[in-house]
Order: sequence, then structure tokens, then C-alpha cells
Amino acid sequence: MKKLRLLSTIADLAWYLSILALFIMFGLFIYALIAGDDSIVTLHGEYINLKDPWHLLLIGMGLSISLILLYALFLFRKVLSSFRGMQLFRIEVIDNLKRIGNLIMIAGVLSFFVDFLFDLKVHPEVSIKFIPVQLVAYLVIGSFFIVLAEVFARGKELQEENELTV
Amino acid sequence: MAMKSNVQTLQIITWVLILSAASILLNDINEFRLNRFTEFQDWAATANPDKPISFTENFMEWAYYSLAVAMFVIRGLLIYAFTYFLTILKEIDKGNYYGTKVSDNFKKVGKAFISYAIGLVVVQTISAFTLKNDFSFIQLFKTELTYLIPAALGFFILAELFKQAQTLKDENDLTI
Repeated sequence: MKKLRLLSTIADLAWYLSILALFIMFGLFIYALIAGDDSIVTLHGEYINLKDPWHLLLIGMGLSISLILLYALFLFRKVLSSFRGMQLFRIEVIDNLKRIGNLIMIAGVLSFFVDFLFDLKVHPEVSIKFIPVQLVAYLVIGSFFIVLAEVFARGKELQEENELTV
Repeated sequence: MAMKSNVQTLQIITWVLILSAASILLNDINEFRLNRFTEFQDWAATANPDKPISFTENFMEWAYYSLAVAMFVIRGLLIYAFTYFLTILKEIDKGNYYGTKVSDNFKKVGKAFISYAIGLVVVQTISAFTLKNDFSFIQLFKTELTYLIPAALGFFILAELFKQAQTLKDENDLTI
């Protein structure tokens, strides 16, 4: 399957670039903390005051979201490599799909809180969002992975039945 | 039971996503229409009724209107693609996981995503050349394309996998 190979390549590329970006982000954050330089770290394009615990909490949450999504990407690569080996209905694939779904939903909720707290603390003129589209999108993607895991679990049962009857 | 509730929850969230995306699009269209109406009123106040309408003279305006309408159509098509996604969820909810309907609809969603990405690139490129907009291809890749192309590939792969699972199910049904 050419498409599977292409998607695996994109996922690999995204993984290595994200690792590099995360190292740079951590490095800059630690440098900014040591040097006490507020003009390096930004969140949503705004400079962060490194002496303010609220701002540090926001940066911490932002970094955790990146780590969660990175782990989800790592699991997604594992799922793709199982697909490439034509091992579709394996317990590892099902577990990983479920984990990816949960991680994406957690990242979505955390990202919603970061946006909300950012508006509250950095931009006190809070804007009311009736429907947080970003959060809904994260929830759709996360639940889709969970539903996929359940469909694959049924596929596994079917495969086992098939193997028993042959 | 847990699966049924998960699918139903996903159906509800997808409906929320579709309705909110559609309302944002309708709001943008209405804003565009109001702005054009204000511009029309300004133009009508000073226009010479004897002078014929010239397309070449107002090329920039016409190009801008056409590209804006094209963008609205493309966005509308993407929202429409989500109705295929709802069909997939409905089939899963009914228990028809490995039917042709599911794999066909996965393919349709994938195609819609790819069409949206291509349409976006085409409209942005034309707008860069005609309106001399600041066209940054990297910026475009960073936002929509980075998610849409892998998602489209994912849907194509799922279509293939579900087709294979259907063959497995058919074999299973025959042996029983």
C-alpha cells in the first residue's frame, strides 16, 4: 500500500521534527529561566513574564500538551508499523488506538484550559466563545480513535472465529 | 454497549462541529455580503448611470469577489464531507462495521479532504498572482495542509483496511 508508506513517512518526519522542536523549546525555556530574559519565551505570540507563577503554569501546561501529543504521535507510528506488517487486529494495535484517543482528548481539554487561563491572566478583556471549535475538533478526533479501537476489537474477535473454523 | 454509547457521543460531537463550522461560514458569507452592499451603496451614490460597467476597469474587485466566493464553496464542501463521516458512524452504530458503505464513505471523506487541500492551494496561488497578496506557502502548510493531507491518507488507508476486513467477514460467514 503506497498510501500507508506515504503516511508512515509523513508521521516519521513529523516525529523527528517535533523532537527537534521540543529540544529547542526546552533549551530556550531553561536559558530564559537562568538568564532571566523575558524576551525569549512566548505563548500565543505574547511575551511571558517568567517571574509570574501564573505565566509559568501556562508555559508548563503548554509543554505538557506538546509532550502528550508527541507521545500520541509515537503510538500512532507504532500502529502504522503494525499495519505495514499486516498485523491489523492485534491487542497492541487496539490498546494503542485507545491510548491515542484518550491522549488527544486530554490534550484538547488541557489546551482549552490554557487558552481560557491565557485570556483570563494575560488578556483580562475576556472574550466569550460560544462553541470552542478547537476543543470540539480534538474531541471528535479522540473519540474517533476510541471508536476505531472498538471496531478493531470486533475485527479481532472475527479473525479468531475465522481461525477456529478453518 | 460501551461501543454504542461511544459512537453516539461521537455522532453528537460531530453534529456540534458541523453546525458550528456551518454557522461560522454563514456568518462570514453574511459579513461579506454586507460589506459588498455598503461598497455598492457608496459606488451608487457617485456612479454615472450612462457609463457601462467595465470588467477590465474593475478587474481587481471582480477577482477578489470570485476568489472569496470560491473559498466559501470550498469551505462548504469540507463541511459537507463531514456528513459522509456521519454516515460511517451511523453504519457502525447499526453494527455494519465491515460493509462496502463504510469503506466507500471513508474513501469519499479522504477525497473531500484532498480536494479541499488542492482547492485551497489553487485559490491561494491565484490570489497571490492576481491580487498580489502576501502568499506564504509555508504558512499554508503549517495550518490546514499539515493536518488535512495526513488525515486524507488515513481515511484512504482505513477504506482499504475495512475492505480487507469485509473479505474476512465474508469468508467467516461462508464457513459457518
